[in-house]
Amino acid sequence: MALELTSLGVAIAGKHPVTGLDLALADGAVLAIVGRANSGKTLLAQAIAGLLPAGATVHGTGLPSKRPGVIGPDANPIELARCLDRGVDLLVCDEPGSALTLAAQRDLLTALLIANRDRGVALLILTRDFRLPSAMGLETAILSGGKLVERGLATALQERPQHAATRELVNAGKPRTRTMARPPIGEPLLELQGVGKRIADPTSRLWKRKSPIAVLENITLSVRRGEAVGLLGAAGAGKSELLHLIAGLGRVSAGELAFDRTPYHGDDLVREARARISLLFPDPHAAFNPDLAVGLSLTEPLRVEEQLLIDEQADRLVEAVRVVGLAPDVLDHLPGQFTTAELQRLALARALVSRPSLIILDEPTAALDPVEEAEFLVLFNRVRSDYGLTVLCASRDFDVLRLVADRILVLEAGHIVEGGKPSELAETGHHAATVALLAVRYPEPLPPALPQAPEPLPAAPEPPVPPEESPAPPEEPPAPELEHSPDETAESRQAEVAVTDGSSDRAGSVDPLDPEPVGQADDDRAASHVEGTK
Amino acid sequence: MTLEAAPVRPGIDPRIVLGATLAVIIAFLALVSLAWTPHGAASLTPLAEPDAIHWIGTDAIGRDGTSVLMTATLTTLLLAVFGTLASLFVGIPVGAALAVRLPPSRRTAHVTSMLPPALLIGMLVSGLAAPANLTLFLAIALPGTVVAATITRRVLAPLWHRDYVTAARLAGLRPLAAAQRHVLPRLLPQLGALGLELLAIAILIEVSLSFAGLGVLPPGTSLGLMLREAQQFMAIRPLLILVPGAVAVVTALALMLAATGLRGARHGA
Repeated sequence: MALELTSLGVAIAGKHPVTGLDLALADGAVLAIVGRANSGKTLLAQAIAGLLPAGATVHGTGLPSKRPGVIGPDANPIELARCLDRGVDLLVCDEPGSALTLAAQRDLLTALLIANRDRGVALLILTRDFRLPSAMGLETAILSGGKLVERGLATALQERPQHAATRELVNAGKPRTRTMARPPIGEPLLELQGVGKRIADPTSRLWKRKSPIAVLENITLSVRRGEAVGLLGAAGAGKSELLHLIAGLGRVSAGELAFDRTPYHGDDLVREARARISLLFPDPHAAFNPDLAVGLSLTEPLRVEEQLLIDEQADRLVEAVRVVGLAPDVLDHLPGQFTTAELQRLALARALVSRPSLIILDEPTAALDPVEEAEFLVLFNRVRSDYGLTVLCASRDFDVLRLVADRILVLEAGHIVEGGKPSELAETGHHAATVALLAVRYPEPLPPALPQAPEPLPAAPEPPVPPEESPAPPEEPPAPELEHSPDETAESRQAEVAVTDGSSDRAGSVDPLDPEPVGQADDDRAASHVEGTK
Repeated sequence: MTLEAAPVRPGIDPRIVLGATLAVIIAFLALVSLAWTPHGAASLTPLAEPDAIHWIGTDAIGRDGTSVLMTATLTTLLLAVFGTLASLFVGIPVGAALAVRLPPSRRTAHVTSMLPPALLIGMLVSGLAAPANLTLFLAIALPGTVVAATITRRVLAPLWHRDYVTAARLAGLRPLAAAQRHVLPRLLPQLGALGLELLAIAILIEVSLSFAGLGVLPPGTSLGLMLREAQQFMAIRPLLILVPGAVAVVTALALMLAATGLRGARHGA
């Protein structure tokens, strides 16, 4: 047995995040443990690896005597190679690769699967995203309340979840879309014409001058009143810079912006217009001054509107906090007393106090786990309908934009390379950047090792195994996701998602977002219907 | 993210209290010398033994040691304070401007010690036959400005580039107003610590340069000069050199202790 834990408990700072946990993992087996944020996954990983922080105590039997390898959120394949060189029998992976780009994470997970298949290393993968074991076809256990409450194949858990925690995690990937009708679209509220931004190359020196880097180049777009436009781009594509310029920070190097027909170039945005644009940051903990009560932070946007009386300000505050689902008495607390999800809701409340026309979201769910992400996006859609907001949302995750945006623009290295409705983009997106961003997030189960595999990591591509077509081996240096044709991507996505409710089976059902549901073009897949998720 | 209970505001850090008290006592005693000293400047027996009247004895030309010590401490402190104030006055705005426009990267150099440049400047300037006060002022203020600017930049840059400061500016707050509300509470203790440390180093620079003969010269007095003059008599009258040295060191350490306390303090503590 690679691991056999009995009644494991971990205590830290007077709390017991892990109590009475039993876990048995056979040699060379793979197990994924899925749990919400703060469910004790990291402590469990640390306990098994023997790396508990000072002040933590552990009791129970079965901790491995030989130190297992540890793969963390920002690990890369090199660290994996080091662990394998050491000759470990067990790899404990705590959110492996979640701090890397999506493609790098997929490569890491593939490398883990290969290590398991070819070297017989047991894998223990801890994650907060149920889609990971679901896509990779792994055996899964659910961590809740400090113990493992359910265990089985991911597909089995998905179809027949027994425990409430399982249901919650499984359903996280399937939120209801568009709970309310969209408001009508009007005339353009925000227009960008040929916007470009250059910054000095930070590596240029006095003796070796380099030309400025173009962070944004020739961006032309227009957002109409009531519309929700999504910006899809990898990290470093220029999304944040563009959003900051639109919100009135910094200055463009070329081109012009116009808000409600008033032209501006960045920080020369007039004060009255600033009150009508709000920006949400990716990390809510950085977006609030930790020394100020949140109520004070929330009133900050109102300082621009001097004509508001104190009573009106208080009313707006209370209303905004209620709208996001929190009680007004939280206004006296400090930011450190909230969870990340609650803080992001408060950030949304802060964005709403000034009654904006345009709300800009910069990767709003980057810091949230999938369950919190789904709840936030549902809340946001409702708020958008109620307030008639115009939305500009940037994200690296296509699924987020599919829920929020009417129209998506793909940003790559400062250029807009493609655009379209989410369903069209998923079907016919052909630019390399688009395909890379739409590609399946997690690797599929590997084909069994060929009997004559000479070394664990062959350099040459393996021939396709008949009769089923298999994806190209992930060891190939060019990004493997490009080998997937777009319809394969859609197929694998559909295979993972259960139908949400019976109504989606109707061939005539029309989702305002998805007039042509993905996959209906193919006769084989006419029955299933992707409903806003993966 | 773990949930924290509301942080309890602690009392003032004891290091600040201790350091500040010591420094204030010494400064007060130095200031008293303006009005009164135990024995004035009357010439008495040179190199007398310490006794009930002359607590640390008399120096080579017969002046009461304690009186000279008080005056010397005042001179040292005044020179150090002026040099430090000039450093802060110029260095902090420069550092702040750099922090906003050109934030430091990991490759930005760290300034490690002010003493070697100060000694070099002292040697150069005094070699140009400049008055002692100017030599010391430049030896303290020039390296001090660089240190003040570097440290201000390093401390201010992360505070300024936080998202919540950006949010305040996007809400329409002018940069100075946003800085005042969101940056200053955490910045001021650090700047206070910077000032106190510069003052401590300035004292040591004065002592070093005057000891080397490049600073205050007779008939003036300063702690460093007392050390220089008493050095030859160290075997027979150790107090004449130990006590001024102790005063310099204790003052510098007290200031550094207070600075450490300020730096570790939370805002408002």
